[in-house]
Amino acid sequence: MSFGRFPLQREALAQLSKEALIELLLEEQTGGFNHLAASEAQLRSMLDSSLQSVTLISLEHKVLAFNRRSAETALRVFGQNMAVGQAVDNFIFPEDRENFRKAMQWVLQGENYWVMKSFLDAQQETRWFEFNLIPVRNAEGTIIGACMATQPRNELMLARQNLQTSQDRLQLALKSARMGICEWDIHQGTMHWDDQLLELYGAHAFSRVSPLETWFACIHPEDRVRMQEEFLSLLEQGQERCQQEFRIIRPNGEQAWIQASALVEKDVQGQITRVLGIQQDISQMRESQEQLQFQAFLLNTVGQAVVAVDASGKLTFWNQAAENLYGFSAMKGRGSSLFKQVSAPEALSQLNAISENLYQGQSWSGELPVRNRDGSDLHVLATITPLMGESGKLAGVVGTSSDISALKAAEEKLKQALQEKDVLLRELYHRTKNNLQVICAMLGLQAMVEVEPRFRQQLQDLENRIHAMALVHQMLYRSEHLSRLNLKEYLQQLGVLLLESYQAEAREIILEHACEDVFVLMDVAMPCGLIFSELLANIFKHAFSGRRNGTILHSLRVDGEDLCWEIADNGPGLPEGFDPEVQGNMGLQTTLVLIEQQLQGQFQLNSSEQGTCWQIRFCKNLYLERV
Amino acid sequence: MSESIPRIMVVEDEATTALFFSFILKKAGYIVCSKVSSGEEALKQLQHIEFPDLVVMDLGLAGKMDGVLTARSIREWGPVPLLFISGYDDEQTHARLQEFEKSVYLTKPVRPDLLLQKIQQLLLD
Repeated sequence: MSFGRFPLQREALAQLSKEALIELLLEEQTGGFNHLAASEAQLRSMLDSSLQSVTLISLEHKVLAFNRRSAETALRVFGQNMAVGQAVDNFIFPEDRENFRKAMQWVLQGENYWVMKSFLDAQQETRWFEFNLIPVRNAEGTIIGACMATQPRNELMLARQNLQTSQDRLQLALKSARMGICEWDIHQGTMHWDDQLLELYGAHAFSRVSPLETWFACIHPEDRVRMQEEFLSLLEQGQERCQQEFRIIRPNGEQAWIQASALVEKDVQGQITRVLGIQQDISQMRESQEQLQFQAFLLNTVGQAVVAVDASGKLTFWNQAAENLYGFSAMKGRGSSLFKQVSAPEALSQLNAISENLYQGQSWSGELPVRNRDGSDLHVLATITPLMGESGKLAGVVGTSSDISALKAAEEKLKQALQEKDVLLRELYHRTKNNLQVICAMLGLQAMVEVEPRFRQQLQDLENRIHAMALVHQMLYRSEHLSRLNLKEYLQQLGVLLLESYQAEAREIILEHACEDVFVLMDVAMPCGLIFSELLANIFKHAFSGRRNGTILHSLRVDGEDLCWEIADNGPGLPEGFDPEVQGNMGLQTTLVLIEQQLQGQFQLNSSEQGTCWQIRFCKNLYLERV
Repeated sequence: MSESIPRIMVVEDEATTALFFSFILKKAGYIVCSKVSSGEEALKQLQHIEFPDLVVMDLGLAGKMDGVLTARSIREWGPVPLLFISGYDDEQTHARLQEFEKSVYLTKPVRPDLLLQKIQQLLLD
């Protein structure tokens, strides 16, 4: 037994008188009570100084004791003064009372109970509290009640909420960026996957923690060895971070490009503690990059120079062909803008006109004089297209151009060659006509000394044939084409010459033409002229002998690829049984050769008392063009 | 034109053609007062002979002067009728001859009857 301030020995007590003993007991009891009162005050002071609300609850759910904070809370929240012996239910919200009873049952069985609860305060603001309910035991260990400690946890919960919000945002950001987070445990040889990463790999069936081999198995076989080596290298070489791109094959067979960034964490001894990683699906980015690279490759492959200029006239892009053509790189640092450097001064007015079109959103195509890096003048065939901004204003210009300087030079040479050819051909026709003049002169001279009329006529016929040939050259000489002439015009002019030569007009012989325009090569015109001369000469000499007048009908008609040619007179007709191939003179036989061989045509000779008609048919495009 | 037989100068560098023209003209009753092959020779001749009534002038001549230049020089002496003859028959040639009034242009080969007809017309104008 112990009585407060000092222990009493049994022997000393035995020696005390009854009164002294009573006095001593009274003194001890008073002192004990005093001591107890002091201890309770200390305890209350301690409890009151606590920031927590503390309430002792009896087995019957009644208040045994409480501190000041608890009383204040009860008053503030429930509007009641807390007092010993009150039912604790008075200080529990009705909707929580059932849970509280269950919690008490739990605690009175020796367990601890913990819960976070929120309430709306008088200002309708949410207040969070942490409730701890623990059993209270006596000296013998018997549960005699419970202690409920309540602590405001607004700041904690706010921090938790903020943390949760941040985590939600992070997850959303990761999801939208198609990123996942992982952690490689190099000691265990495992990889920890987060939900987003599992989704990224399409590996929903995977465990959140799986062996490294599982991850490597997901990597495309062509990238797998490289990635294994890179991972090993990361661990062995002590790098702090690394980044790699590789392909994965999802369980459904899809391929995806992944960019993985790893961060190595080490302890103070430099030993790797963990490796954190972020993996991102960059398939779309790779696809876009590949498309851009392909487009860039295409732009650099095309032979045409492609340049882009912004609205201020500054060059913003040019491809390899443009570099080759203009040499923009060499022009840099020369002060004036690159665009101005390639613009030839003589093209400025043209460029101003083009600019007006561009500002109206219209493209322009045509030839432009430009200058290259050496200041050499070039000619380009260009197409300039405006790039209109969203506001509808000119945001820039894209131009494509090809060097046509060589083409222009070749064109000039060709023009020159054509002119030379033209001059040469005209000179040739001129010389031919001069030579024909000499032949005519010789025939004429011979005719002057020839006394025999028959021979003089033959010389005259010859001269007429030469004039027929000369007329072809004359018409070709005058024509634009130099190798084709209008057969209708030629035969009509030749007819006039022959009428004059044989003085047919004086004899009132009429030559009527019914011809279609048809252009033939001189290879066709020349034999036609000779045939026409011979047949008309025969008509003039024989068809109208003894008559003062006569009519010759001359027609030329196109029938598909053929020409149908008729020369008819209204004379008395040929002698019966006349065969031109047998009985015809040399001139007529020559004519038949020209029809059948040179023109590869056919003829038909119809003769009656009403006249004679030569029908000749041949292909108008018998020969190929020569000049 | 005088009442006497017209005197004609032939300027032609092709000898056969010149001879042929001379024969035709003579046969038609004209006097061929001179037959030369170049412009320089024609101008030289004109200093020694009586001025002709008509000149038959080829355009392409031997020497440095062509028919047009020679004709211009001859026209400085007097308004003699000119009958130009050439194998050329293009617009440029026709344009060059526009300056010469009282002139006719024939293309080779020239038919004798046409030659005489044009000479007669020129002499009558």
